[in-house]
Amino acid sequence: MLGANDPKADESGSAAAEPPPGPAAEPLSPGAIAELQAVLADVAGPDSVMADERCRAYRADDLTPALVFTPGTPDDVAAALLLADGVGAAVVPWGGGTAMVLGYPPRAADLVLDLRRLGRVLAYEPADLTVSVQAGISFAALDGVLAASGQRLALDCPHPEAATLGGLVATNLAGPRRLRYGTLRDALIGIRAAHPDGTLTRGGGMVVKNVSGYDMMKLYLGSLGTLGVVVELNLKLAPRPPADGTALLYFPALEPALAAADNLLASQLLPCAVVVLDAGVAAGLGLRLAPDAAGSPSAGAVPGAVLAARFEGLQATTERQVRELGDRGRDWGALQGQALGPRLASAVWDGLLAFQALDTAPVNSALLKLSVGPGDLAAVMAGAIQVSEQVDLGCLQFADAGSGIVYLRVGQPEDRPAGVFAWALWALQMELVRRWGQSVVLSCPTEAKQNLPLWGREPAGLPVMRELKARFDPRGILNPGRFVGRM
Amino acid sequence: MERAQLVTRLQQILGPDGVIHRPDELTIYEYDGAFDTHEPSVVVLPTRTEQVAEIVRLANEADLPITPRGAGTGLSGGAIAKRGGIQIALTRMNRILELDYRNRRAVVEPGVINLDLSTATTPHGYYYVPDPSSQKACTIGGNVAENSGGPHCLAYGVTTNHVLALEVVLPSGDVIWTGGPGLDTAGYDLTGLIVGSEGTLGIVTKAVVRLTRLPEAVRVLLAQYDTVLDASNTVSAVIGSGIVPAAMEMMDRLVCQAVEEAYHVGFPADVGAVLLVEVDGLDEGLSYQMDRIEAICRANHARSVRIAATVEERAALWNARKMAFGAMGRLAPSYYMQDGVVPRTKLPATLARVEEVSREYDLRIANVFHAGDGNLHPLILFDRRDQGAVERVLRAGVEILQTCIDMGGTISGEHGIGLEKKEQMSLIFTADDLAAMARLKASFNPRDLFNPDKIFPSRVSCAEVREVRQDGRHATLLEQFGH
Repeated sequence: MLGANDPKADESGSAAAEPPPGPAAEPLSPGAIAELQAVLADVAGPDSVMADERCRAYRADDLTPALVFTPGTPDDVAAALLLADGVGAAVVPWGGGTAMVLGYPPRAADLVLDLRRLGRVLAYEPADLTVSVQAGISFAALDGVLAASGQRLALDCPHPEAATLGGLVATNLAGPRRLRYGTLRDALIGIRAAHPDGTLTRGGGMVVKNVSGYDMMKLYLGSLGTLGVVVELNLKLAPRPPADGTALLYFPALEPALAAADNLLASQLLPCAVVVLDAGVAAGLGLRLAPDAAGSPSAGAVPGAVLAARFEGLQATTERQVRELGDRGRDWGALQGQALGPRLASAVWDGLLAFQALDTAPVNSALLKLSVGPGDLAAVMAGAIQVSEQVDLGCLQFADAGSGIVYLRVGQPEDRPAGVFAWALWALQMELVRRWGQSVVLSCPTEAKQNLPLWGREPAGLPVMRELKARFDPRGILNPGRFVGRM
Repeated sequence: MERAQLVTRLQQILGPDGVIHRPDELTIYEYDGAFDTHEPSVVVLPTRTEQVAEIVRLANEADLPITPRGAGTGLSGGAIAKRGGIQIALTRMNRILELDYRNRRAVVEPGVINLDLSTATTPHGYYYVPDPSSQKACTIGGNVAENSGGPHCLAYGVTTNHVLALEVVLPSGDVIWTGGPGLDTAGYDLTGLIVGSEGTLGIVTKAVVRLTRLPEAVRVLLAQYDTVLDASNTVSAVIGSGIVPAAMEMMDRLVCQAVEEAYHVGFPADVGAVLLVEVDGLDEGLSYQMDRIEAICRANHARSVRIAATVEERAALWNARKMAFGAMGRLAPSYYMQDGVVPRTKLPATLARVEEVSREYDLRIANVFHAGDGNLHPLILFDRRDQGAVERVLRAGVEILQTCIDMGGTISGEHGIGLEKKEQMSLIFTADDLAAMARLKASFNPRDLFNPDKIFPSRVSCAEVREVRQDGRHATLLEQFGH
């Protein structure tokens, strides 16, 4: 899938037809770096540029940037991009650094833009249920501001203290509560981005309904900083619900648990998250069958699968739903049901969020995500077990059943040669892509990425995507090579 | 290519009944729901994706623009063939191809009428949420092009939040699927870019849309007020209290009068505004929410609050809102509906300014709108026979849009830019903003073949602006730093 440009790109009038002049595999010359450093210091002050050992903190995929620039204003970002474009420096935008493992290693990383100084709330009117922030604000900082008004951005975020809103836009990752609240895609109502031509542009606005011009939010969302650097964003918010309840159903195996999830989702109950954990994940969270009145010999054993459902809302509706799930669970073949208290409930949900969080420096382990639709979950999970066994990978998985997604962790002991793991991961991914198309390796060791189709099957729209890349980043300086199709 | 030859070639693709080319038959395709008109040279009615692709390839060969069209109910001129050429009417591609309840999605052709989809799925306990007021006529394809809204978008989002994947014929004639079997796909979000692109990026030939489970319970409340101000303060207070209703709709005095005259729903003659609030979800929660909303209405001086006790009563309350546009004929021979959005807290100030505009331009303006979203629909009433009426109406419309912008809002919430508002785009976006949008357009549609002359202001060529600007900045910054 790699490399080859679409043949149609050779037609006249196609921006993608021009040879990509972007950053070479060779790093910039020391002279060019020194010059860039001096100019950036002129733009935003000498303290805003680092060229020493501190740059090592920005190492990702075995690449250490020559320079790290911390812009203080959106204009600084635009100026930095213009300058980098002028000398052909590869730019790596950086938020909390929690997802830098995502994608292929960039072809080069000359200049990291650390956006965390852009951390202000620009406008917040609680009665409008909207907020405007700079891209470098952390999820936790924003959440603190919103909580004071009883509101929130309804999004699961594994590293709230570190992850920035800009980074969340760039990766568009979300957790199980997307079932009810959607993802950042649904909350993003306005955006401001800096471009390699030195311009700053806006799209959308501060209103919850808007069809004035193209939906530019969708352009940057999930684009991994390859089309522009997001500097500001506007979000639609939600009230914080007063109550939060979680119920578990224990099953002997995955299939009946997934069938129960289907039943729950077809009901008129309103869970905000429905997940199904395999035995390994359940064991990791300390979930065990309780002794029952019949003195079942399985007491204390790990169940074959666990369905967890979360209900947020009013006290009365939450209590009713937790109770009703327990009642219905018996009809659906559950061995046992359990209503969780707040402490256990957050242990389960935090544990799952940690499971689906990207590793920063994985060794002989990988995290994969398959977005297939609820109807295919059972087949995908069974297939993942089977293929992992064939290639000698240990495997753990849970399904975000509400949204039809499987999160799969595979690994081998750390003392195995890295090449053995890389081969096994390649074989697994090739087979998953062959069967399901949509399999993305979210995190794995750098050395395993080389020949791995880590973004899954090449999308049908790749020629159009290349056109977008060629027009928004003609010299290919933004995260070069990291994204789908090595864009 | 000679016109006769074009017609022959199109007939080869579509058969004789798929091509409309006689002048008298073309006339009905020269307008949509807005002011502007222009006749296409020929109208085609494909029934299959492959035909659409062949037509597009032929248009490339003949260098003719293409304007897609759904039901023609659009209110911004999006379906007008401004440069003539070929109009592709997608109304014959109207099959519901798949209803997949387990995966909660439907696959439909673009000509499926919005309401027909919900009608087909409701017996199975599901519905398609976006419900534009024209839902009995408008098509899903048109909804996708305009990113249409509707009353129930307050809690559930607009069309883009309900479209999962699209089969699209690109301006090159290539057919691609955007999106995939699941919710997330790798790569840029082409689905999200195409929704709301007003037919300028591609022609949708199939859409995979989200089906939503019908709620367990629904409650509707109708509150009457002496003033629009009290009603709009209620809207902000409800949202501010942590309740996001499924819908929150408002009608002002003029609209209430017209509705009362036409349908006798029981509005008092002197009512100043009516607010309709719907909540849905689980039964236990709704009583609590309704109680709180009622209290907020009363605290904001509602003179009466009625909660529908039965399904029939609920339908009756909604009917008053849904028939509002139909009742406007009681007030004036014509109306021009504006579509602006403001942050919800700015509703009272915006409506006050709309009233001033009404006085300044000596035009009656009625308001019926999606209050919960801050999405205004001022209806400027007029009579075409009056000297200079249309021009005065349009100027008042622009004045209202400027007010929305001044309030921190924008110029279209759900009707689109099309021809109607393209000049006003430069009121909210800079030349650089528009240049970025132009880059997006060129990535799909480099020859400007699909729906030309829409969205972008005509006074400036975006490409030119961009080059001047870019060269200027490059030169200054780079020279300054010795490059």
